[in-house]
Amino acid sequence: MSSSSTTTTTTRLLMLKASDGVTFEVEEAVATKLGAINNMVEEEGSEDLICLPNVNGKFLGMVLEWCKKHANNNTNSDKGNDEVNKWWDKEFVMDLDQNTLYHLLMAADYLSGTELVDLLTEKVASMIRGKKVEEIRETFKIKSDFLPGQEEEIRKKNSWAFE
Amino acid sequence: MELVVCNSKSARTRGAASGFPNDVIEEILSRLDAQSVMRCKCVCKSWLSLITHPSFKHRHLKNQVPGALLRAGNLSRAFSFHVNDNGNHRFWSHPFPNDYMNHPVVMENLNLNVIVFGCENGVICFSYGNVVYLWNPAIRKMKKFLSPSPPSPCPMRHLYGLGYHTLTDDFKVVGIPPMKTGGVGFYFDNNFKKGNLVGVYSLRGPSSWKTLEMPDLFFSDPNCANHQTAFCSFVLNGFIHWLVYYGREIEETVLESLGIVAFDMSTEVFKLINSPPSLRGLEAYTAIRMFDLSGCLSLLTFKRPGLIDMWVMKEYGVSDSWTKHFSLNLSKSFVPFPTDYDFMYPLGRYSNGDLLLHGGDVFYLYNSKCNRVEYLCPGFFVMQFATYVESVFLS
Repeated sequence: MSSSSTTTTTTRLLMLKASDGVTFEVEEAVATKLGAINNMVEEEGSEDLICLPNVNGKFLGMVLEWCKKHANNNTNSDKGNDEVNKWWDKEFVMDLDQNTLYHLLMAADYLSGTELVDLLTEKVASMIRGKKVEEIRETFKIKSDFLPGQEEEIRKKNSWAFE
Repeated sequence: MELVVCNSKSARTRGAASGFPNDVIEEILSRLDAQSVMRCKCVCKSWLSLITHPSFKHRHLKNQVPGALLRAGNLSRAFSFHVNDNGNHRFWSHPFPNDYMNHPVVMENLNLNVIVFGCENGVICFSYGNVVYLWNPAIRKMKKFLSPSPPSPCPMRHLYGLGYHTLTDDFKVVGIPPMKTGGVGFYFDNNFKKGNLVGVYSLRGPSSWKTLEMPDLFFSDPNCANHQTAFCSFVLNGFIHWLVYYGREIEETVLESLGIVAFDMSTEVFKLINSPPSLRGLEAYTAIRMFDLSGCLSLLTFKRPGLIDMWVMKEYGVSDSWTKHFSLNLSKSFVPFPTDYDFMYPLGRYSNGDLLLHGGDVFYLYNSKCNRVEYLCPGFFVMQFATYVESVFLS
């Protein structure tokens, strides 16, 4: 999963090191799908090793898997690419458990992987859409911190939204 | 050499709830439909303060899929909506708001019709009798106020325009009474005539109309005594625009030239923008819609049978910069069913380039990616069309 040795073109390889010491060797074109790494490559030029102290190996691996898929699909120039990416994205987020989704989104956000953040925030939004307030609190382990009566006040103003 | 990615995002404060940083939560909430957003206000204090922050409505708007507002040409008591979300088509309708907020839309007088004048950031501006309504159907919020001057006898009517002024975070309504002359020009409302008294209403301002005097937009050209507007107002670059036919009368009720009257919401000044020179005479009457193409003021024009052109004003306000952007012959596009192009015309354009078409009481879609006309569903005669996007503005 970490590096591709099958390509014949000479693409630069970057070494990424996760918080737990796991390293990944990835093509520059793949890693630069992440804004944070792209900025670094543009500003600093060539680096041997990029350390990412806020992401552990498991989630960095998943983020890079997503980057790789999208980098590959974007190089093929046929029109069905959008569809392929969409289909692949759907598969990617379909069975994510909540813990993984949380860490993955935090990692994507930290690495400024805008498209991946879009995909994952949309996934989280789909877990909120149409749900009751109590269900949302339970799903995201949120405790109501309103003063007594405050919540009722807000509900009353838009009672139709709670029907 | 070793480099450490330690951006500003590393040490951000986490939201009080759910563990995500606040701007991630804001991004998540801004992807929800308006009703879910209203519900999420009740989840916890930090979500409430994110949603009620003035910047949230803009972020939310940006994440919604633009659609269309279709006003049926009969006395139907509903607005219809259409959303084209990557090929998933959704039609729904909303009855007139007569059941909440103690703001009934009185419907007892069947001689009066609800007329839509514009739709901006999810808020619809319509009039009924001498009352102007701003209505956001997605969050069921409504504001209403009286027209700037007493109504003129039917069929004369006030013209309105709606805009959202970003600098003041406020909606502005422009209300222009008709200025008919007797005899010649009986058909024309002449709202933009020099000296006419125009009202400007700011929703956050005092609950009264500010009065402006209409300047001489037509340079006192005696040939421009009459003019007539058509269709809803349209906002771009901080200007509210109306399509206006003016100039010599070349046939009964048909005027020679087409222009666009623009109202600057910051300076509150009117100006006239000329249309592409080739849109004159009867050709001018084929201009049916203004729209935004990558920030440029653009026109959709139509000629039977099935000829559609798009004009783009490359440099805003510069008439010489009109360029024909795109021509389409519907009869040359792929149509997988027998149809009569004579009765097919475009209602409007979606931001992805697709066109909503109407013909023989059916709605069709021109799929720009595949150059194909697709059947959507049975339709109805559409009197007015505006772009619509669900929003939480006006809350």
